[in-house]
Parts: sequence; structure tokens; C-alpha cells
Amino acid sequence: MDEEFDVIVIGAGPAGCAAAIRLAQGGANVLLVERGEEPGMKNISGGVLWGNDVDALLPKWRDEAPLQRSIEEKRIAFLTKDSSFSMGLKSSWSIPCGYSVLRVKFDNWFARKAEEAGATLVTGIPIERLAFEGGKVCGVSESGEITRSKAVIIADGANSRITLESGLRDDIDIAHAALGIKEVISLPQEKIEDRFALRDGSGFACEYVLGFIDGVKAGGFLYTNLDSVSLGTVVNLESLGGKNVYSHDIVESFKEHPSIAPLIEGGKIAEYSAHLVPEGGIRMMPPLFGNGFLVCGDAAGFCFSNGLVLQGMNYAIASGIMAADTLREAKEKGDYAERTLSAYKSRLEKSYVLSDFKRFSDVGKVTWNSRMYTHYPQFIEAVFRSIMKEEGNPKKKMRYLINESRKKVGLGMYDMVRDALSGGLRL
Amino acid sequence: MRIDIKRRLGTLKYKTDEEEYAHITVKPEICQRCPHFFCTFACPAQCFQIVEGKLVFRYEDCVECGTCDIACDQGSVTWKLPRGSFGVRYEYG
Repeated sequence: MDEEFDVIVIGAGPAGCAAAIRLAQGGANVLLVERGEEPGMKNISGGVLWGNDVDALLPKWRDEAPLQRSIEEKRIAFLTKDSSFSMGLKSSWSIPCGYSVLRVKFDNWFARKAEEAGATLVTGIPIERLAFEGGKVCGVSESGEITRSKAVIIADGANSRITLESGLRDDIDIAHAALGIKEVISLPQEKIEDRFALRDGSGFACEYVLGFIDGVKAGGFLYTNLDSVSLGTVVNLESLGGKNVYSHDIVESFKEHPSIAPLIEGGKIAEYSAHLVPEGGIRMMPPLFGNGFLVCGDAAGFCFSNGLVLQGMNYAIASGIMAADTLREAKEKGDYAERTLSAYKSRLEKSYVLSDFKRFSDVGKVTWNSRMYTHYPQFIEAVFRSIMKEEGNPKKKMRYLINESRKKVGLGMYDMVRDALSGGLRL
Repeated sequence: MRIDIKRRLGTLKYKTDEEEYAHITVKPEICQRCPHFFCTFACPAQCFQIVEGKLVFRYEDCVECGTCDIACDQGSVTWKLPRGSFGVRYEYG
């Protein structure tokens, strides 16, 4: 293409689409490039879309977007081989706390909205690398052909080849790499509403700590769509090493769990999928800006997990909007140099995006603590079993039960106190 | 009842590129000396399998997650994006 764009956005996921919409709404000449033949085709997610940030882009989006269910019940559960301890909150919030989405549909809609706003969308094009001129980014390169722009937004996802090929980051460290595997399981709408006690398009979402996968650190998730359930596991790759366990078998073990199997009984697998989850947090982030470029969404490592929530899409959309606003200012100034674009980082720092990552920078030490996946689910089970089960013995006080259960599962007093302090400080 | 990974992969649609354009390649001489074959456990799409004591790699079922690139600590895996419009085509996501 001979035309020079104001901005090229790489990747039509939530981050890239949000950025393209915001830029096009401000009158910028934007090219949105997606490697899938249709936007969304390469994307999956295991989380819930809050969507608060979308309000600023498309005020009527809640009526127009292909949303599945508005999540009214959120739970967290600790599973042992044959038990589940869970807690949760159910409420009919006036504005729901989130929506389940199927990304192929949602991303496609979002990308079309970028087109409607005036962005040029091209699909089926895998951008290979950034093009540089005089030490600054001057566009993107694909099959030896350069398309020129004043700035580039990198939003190519968790497995970001652009940041890797352009030398902005090293290979992902296996200690910080998590693999998400998901299945979409079709079930009739009435069955879903009966099994999860839902009505009128309301939905259920739960995160799980899996305490029965032979020392592999793994979490699970399950949420309801209109006529399907999305469920899956997130596995810390390093902990999978040397265990003789197949990543794809862990999902099956999760589905066989007595608390999960009845929920999906009779369902048919509509789709199997897998995706990296960039869980490294603030230490794994590439530079977020440079001469003529900005990095957004999963490509920037903006994925947050503290065991209770798993968030990626919301950070993606928020960061896309902030990248766009930074480039709007740059256009006014006619200056896309690093110093001007550093305003992007200040914006992120002032918002919930980087504050969350900074505040919870050590959260991995809690969530990926191996006792979380071995001793604690068993410990919680033991405590609650003794409280709730009637075995004809005299009742004991709580502190005795806790101590007894702790000993029963082989959890050291020192470890427990240390973990409690660590969790209290970091979560 | 466990559902075989092959059946689960059977739910996926692909536009498969010709072998000469395979987006992932492995170096057999390196794999031959691999002490752990971790790729066979990590890959969610069973693209890496041991057949008669040897590592066999097939790119056709790949879901482009990038796990093998991280899991291989022997330097055998070369990973790049599939050519335009090729590869996995999710219908739900």
C-alpha cells in the first residue's frame, strides 16, 4: 500500500479493536490488521467481560454486542479429589458485573464497529515485524512489503510474535507461562437455566483451585453461555514438568470431578481450544512504548490472575483506549517520539490497569504456591467436614478442628502461618 | 468417561497449509537426544508424539498457542505464524 496511515493496529482482538475505534472516532486514518481470515477466529478466552470501558467507546454496546449471559453469580471453589468447598456471591446487579462472551462472535462484532467508525480492516494478513527507519518505527512489514504509518499499536495477543521478533522481549520464561485449555460444551438453554438456577439471560461463573492433579499447579474455570457452557483449566507449565501428566488430560480430570460432571452431563463438545495465558505480571512486561509504537492487551502482559478472578479482556480494552488517546495527542503535536508516547504509561499508571499490576506484583507467590494445590484444598475440606458432618462425637471448638485438620493433611504450622501472612499481605 | 484428545481435536476446523510452509518445525537431531520429551506432555493438541521411541511432530492439528516454543528447552522448535488465513479456525472462541 502506498498510503501512509496515521496508525497501524496489529491484531483485531479487544485491545486492537478498542484502539482502532477510539482513533477512528477521533478522525485518525487507521489500519487494523488481523491475521485470522475473520476477526476472532484465532481468539479464545476463559474470562468474563466487564465491559465498563466499552461504555466510553460505544454507549449502546450492551444492546448491540453479541453477549451471551450477564453474570449474576460468581463463585470460587477449592476442589479435592472428591470434594468441593466453594463460596460466592449472587445478586441481580442493576449493571451486571460482567458478561460471558464467545470471542469469535464478539471480536468479529467489535472489529466491524471499528470499520463503521472509519478504520480500514484487513484480515488474513500475519504481520511479521515492525519496520524501522532512523531508529523509529515507520510501519509494519509482511512478505517483504512495508506498509507505512506514523505509529504502530502492537496488540497481537499472548503469543506476541511481534514483540519477540522486534527484540522487545525475550522468550517467555516457563515459570511464568500458563496454558489455558477450554471446551465449549453445548447444552439446551433450559438445562443450563435449571442446573445453574438462572433465568432471563442471567449467568454463572466460577473459578476453581484444583487440588487433585498430582502436584501440577492448575486452576479451572466454568461459565455459562446462552446454550453452552465454557469450561477449562489453566496450568502452570513449569509445574507440569516431570509429572507424566498430559496438559489435555487435566481438563478431562476436571470434567470428571463429582462437582462438575453433573453440570455438563449430556452435553456435547462443540469446540476444543487452547491459548497461552500471560501470567508473568509486571516483571514480564515488554517496554510498553517506544519511538513510534505502543503495546496493548495480552501482548503487553496485561492479564491478571489472583486465583479469584482471571482478567484479560478488560485490561485489553482499557489499554487500547489509552493507547489511542496517547496517539491522538501525538497527532496534534505532530510528534510520535518515545517521550511523547511515554504519556501512555502515565495513563496506565493512573488507571486501574498498571495500579492493579503494581499492587499485586507478588500475587504469583500466593497463587502459584504449591501448597495452594496440595495441602490447602484438603485442609479446608477437613475443617468443614468436621464442622458439618454428624459422626456422633462431641463437638470440638474451631481451633481444635483447625489444628487437627492441619496435622491430618500434613500442613506444617510454620508454613501455614507464613502462607497466611503472605496471602494477607499480597492479595 | 474420558474423551480422547483426538475426538476433541475433531471439533476443530482448519485450513491446512502445505507441508513446506509448516509454521512450526523441529530439528530431529536435537529431539533424538532430548532427555524428557516435555513437548509431548505440554502440547494441548498432541502434535508431538513418541512413536517407536522417536519423536514425531505433526503441525496439522496445531492450535497456535505457542506452548511448545516455551516448553522446549533444547532449542529444537522454530515457531512462526502460519501464512495468511491458514491454520486453526475457531467458531466459538
